[in-house]
Amino acid sequence: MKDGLNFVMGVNLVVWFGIAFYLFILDRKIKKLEDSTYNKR
Amino acid sequence: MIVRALLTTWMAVIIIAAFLYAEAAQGFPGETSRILFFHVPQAWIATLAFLISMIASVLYLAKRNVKADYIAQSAAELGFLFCVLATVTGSIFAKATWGSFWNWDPRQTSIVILLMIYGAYFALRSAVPDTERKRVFAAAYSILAFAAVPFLVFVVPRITSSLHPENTMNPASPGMDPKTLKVFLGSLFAYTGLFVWMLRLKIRILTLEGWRVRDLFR
Amino acid sequence: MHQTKNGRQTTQTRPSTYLNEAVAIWLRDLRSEFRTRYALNAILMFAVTTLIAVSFSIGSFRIEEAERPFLYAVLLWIILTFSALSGLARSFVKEEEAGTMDILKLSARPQAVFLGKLLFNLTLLGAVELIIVPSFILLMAYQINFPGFFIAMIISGGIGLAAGTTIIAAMISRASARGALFSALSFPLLLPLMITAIKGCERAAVGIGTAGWPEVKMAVAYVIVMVIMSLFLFPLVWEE
Repeated sequence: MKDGLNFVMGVNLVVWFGIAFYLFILDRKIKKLEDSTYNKR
Repeated sequence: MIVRALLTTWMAVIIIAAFLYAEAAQGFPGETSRILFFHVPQAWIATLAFLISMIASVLYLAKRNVKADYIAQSAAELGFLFCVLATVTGSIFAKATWGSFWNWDPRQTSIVILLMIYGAYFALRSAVPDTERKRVFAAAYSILAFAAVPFLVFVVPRITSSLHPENTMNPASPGMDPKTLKVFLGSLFAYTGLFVWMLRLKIRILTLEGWRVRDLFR
Repeated sequence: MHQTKNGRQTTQTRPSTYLNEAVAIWLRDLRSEFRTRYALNAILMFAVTTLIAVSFSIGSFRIEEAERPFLYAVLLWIILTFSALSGLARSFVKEEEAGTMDILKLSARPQAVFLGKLLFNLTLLGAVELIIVPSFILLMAYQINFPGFFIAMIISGGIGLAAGTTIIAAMISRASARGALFSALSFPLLLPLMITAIKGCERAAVGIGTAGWPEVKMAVAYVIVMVIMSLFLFPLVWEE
């Protein structure tokens, strides 16, 4: 039973870090866009 | 940046704690109670998002501040996402615990109704071409839907309890076990942080799009 | 009516109240509806078809005695709710199609327009209920042990159906895919009312525990909340 738990936990962690990574990348892209449009204004 | 890094770490800690630190609750088959660390916060966030969307809608109608509409829209989209997550995790739990994915118990019914309201909200937004009217109508609908929800809170338990006497164990109060409580509260905190993070990102994206449209017409 | 003031003739006018304007709109809609019977036919056609389909396929002998109070209530309110969804949007859509929206906006205050349209929808729904409910009871052999409660439930539920949908009808009158959108928007709002009405009719049919008329009170509360919210929100929806 415990082995199964470790696997599920592992999957959860991988999924979570994937999401967090994606959000970080998105954040950077948005920041870049915000800065460039600020310059154009 | 630091806050987001901390949040990432915190959620990871919670995930680990949910499986290794907290103990599986009595009265639930096997380890199934662990899903509640994720399922319940998702459901709470879905309703919180709905509430935020409604408040932002009121603000929009009062002040016609476009940012309020951005908040309303973003909160609705995220609320829908968490609602779907809650429904799915809930169904998985239902299958593991009571044998069937779906049996229309009060909580399942309420989450479906929430999904319907969100769906209708998005349908309305996409069906009205004019931007100003779209915002006003969406805001009005959000408020109307919120007015109808309390009736569901009072009505649904009364009707379904008469149909299904063997009703659900209410998982809203997670056991007396202090470890479980800690992990649950920690998870709630993590999910709230995640929600706020995603919400702010969405609002920034909408603001950027608004700038782009405005600059096009300069 | 014609007074003279300083030698000039003036027409005496009374300031119009909300009620006057609302009733005027209501009567004008009734008159035009009476001529064409478009909305009434649409709703009745749906209701009668569904009723016949239900009665034919399920019949009065296919369902156990014990299950009937509840299941019949469910079927009846499905018929009524979906009939309402098929026809109550007409009150605003026909203004849009006829091009009379702008004149309507000019001729009356928003709340009065809402009340007038609400009265019209109430009349439509009342007529439909008057025809469908007795037919249903007869066709399905629905035994109702407490008719007073039942009638009150039908009436308050019907008012609820109109109260919950009239403002939505105004919102979708200019949208694309009006019929589907109207149903999608109205259904979550009507669901609490539907559940209450079904429970109430079941209780009336069974005849036990009817003291206090709980479901009727709930339906009335629903009507009040929906009408007040609509009165607040309608001007914003209408002015666009």
